[in-house]
Amino acid sequence: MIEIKGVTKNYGKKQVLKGVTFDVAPGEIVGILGANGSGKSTLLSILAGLQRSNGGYFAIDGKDLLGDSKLRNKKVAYVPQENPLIEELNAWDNLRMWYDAKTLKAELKNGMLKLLGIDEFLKVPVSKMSGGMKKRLTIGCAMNGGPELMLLDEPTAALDMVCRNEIYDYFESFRSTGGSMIISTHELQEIELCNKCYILKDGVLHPYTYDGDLQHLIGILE
Amino acid sequence: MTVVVGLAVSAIGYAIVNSESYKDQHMRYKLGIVGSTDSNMLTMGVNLLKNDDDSRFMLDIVRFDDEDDARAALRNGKVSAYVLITDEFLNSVNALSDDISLEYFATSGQRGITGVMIDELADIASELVVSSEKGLLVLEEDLRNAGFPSEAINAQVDQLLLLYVGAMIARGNMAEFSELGLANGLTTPEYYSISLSLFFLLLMSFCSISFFLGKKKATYQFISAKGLGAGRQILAEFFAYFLMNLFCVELILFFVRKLVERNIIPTQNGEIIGDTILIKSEFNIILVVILFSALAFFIFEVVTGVINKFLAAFILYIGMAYISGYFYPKSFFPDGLRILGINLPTGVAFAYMEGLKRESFSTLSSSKMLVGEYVSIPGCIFMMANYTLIFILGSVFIRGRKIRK
Repeated sequence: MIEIKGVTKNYGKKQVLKGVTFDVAPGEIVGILGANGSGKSTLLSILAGLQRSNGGYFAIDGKDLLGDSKLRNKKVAYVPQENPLIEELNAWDNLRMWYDAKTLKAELKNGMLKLLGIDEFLKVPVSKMSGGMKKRLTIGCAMNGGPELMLLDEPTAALDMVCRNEIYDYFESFRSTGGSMIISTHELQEIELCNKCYILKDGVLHPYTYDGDLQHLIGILE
Repeated sequence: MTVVVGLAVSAIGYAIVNSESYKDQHMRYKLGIVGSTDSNMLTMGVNLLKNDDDSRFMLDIVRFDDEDDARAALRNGKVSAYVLITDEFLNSVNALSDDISLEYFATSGQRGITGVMIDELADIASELVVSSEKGLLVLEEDLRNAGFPSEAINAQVDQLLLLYVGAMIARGNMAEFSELGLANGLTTPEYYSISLSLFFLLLMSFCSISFFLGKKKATYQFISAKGLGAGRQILAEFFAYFLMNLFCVELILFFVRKLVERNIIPTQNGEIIGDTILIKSEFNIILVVILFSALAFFIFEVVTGVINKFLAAFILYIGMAYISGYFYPKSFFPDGLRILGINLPTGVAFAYMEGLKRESFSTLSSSKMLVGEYVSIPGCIFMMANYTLIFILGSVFIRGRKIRK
């Protein structure tokens, strides 16, 4: 079980997160919705260890991750919204930054990287990849070491339908192995993929269930 | 890129050394006078010089009791030249004898003050002529009033005249000029071989600017989320960047060495002008490459956009090199600017290379104090290490901010 309790974050006098609390069960996808600037990315970057919170608790199976960066790096994978890959390198070289050669070959043969379809474009430089290929490769790089929780910041923004579906297929397979995900999103398709959703507004997390009424959702976000 | 940078530096160096402004310096000079403060005659002479209508607009007189102080001031650029006036010289003047002369010390960058001094000596000679003429007339009148015969008067006047003429002829060699080099005892070729080599090293940092292209905040964040924080990222990147710079420098030195071996590059006294220091201190130069790599790394980390990086670094390099005395001798600048220039990373690197040159590239463990600057080579290394640390820590701070944003 993943527990997030009372996470707060201040930027000067402005409190961006006011005691954010929720749980994520194994194999569960949690969606975080919110308007631009509501603090979704800040929450994910705190959980990923990029920023320090002003308070709170984040643990997997009772083990505190905010104070143990080594354990967090092992248990948590972070996929940023923008492409973090090194453009001059091809897919293989980018993966080699994070995998040893033996593990990489095994993963490409019948592991998680095979599921992502990365074996099909190993020699292609990142600068010549499509958006979907880049996103799949980013997820592949992030997933080394077998993390239990994946943090995704708007993972399918600016991707076409085919690419989205490929990525959603991977999410389903990751979930089926007991992996958990926290997704910051604006996409209805992703909201429907989530087991539970929250809306982050004015620094406070509100439970939300999407009932197909888009206007109602927009009204809440505004 | 490497060849272009090398050619550009060579062209700049040639232009500076041959510029008219370098040759004709129109400025107010500080002249050191070394002599006993107890000497009334010297004090009177200094006051005369200070208040002379011509020289008071050209010269500031600085009194020194000790020649070592004057020499240190000259090497620091606090005075443009100094004149050593010994007691023997004063006695010689009093006795109208011609066996002792002034000693005048200047650096080779102070051609202007040499001219001023020669003018002053000519003025002094004129004064002597006028005074001696008065002396002859007074002698003649006194002897006539005393009732001496014309033959005796003429004989005495002739004798005094010959004495004056003898003294005047001797005073034509009143001063011996000694050149102490451009600064800190270095000759002009040595000085500019160091400064241009260092400027060349600064510009070499552009050869690896592609290292900083195409980098994204998302990459830093992603790597940080994988457990490699800002500090480890910067250390890894800096090491790679430094190795690239070192490779570029060594590559050029390799070709320079080959050209020297085949006598294609002209040499002077067995040394290559412009590359003397680099070739002779390949190990020692690494410390300067580390410092300049750290400086460039910091600038490139702070500034975003390739054109901005290039422009910012180039403008900073030119400015820092200028006030650190790379293009003009340090004595050219006012005190405040000169002290700033000496203490900038470029100035510390210059002092380090000067020290190596003066100590004939002896080992780094040498603790010999550099005369005048009072900075030891270990002291220079300590300052360079501090600057390197500051630049790396600054880069870590900036990278951390990029990751957190």
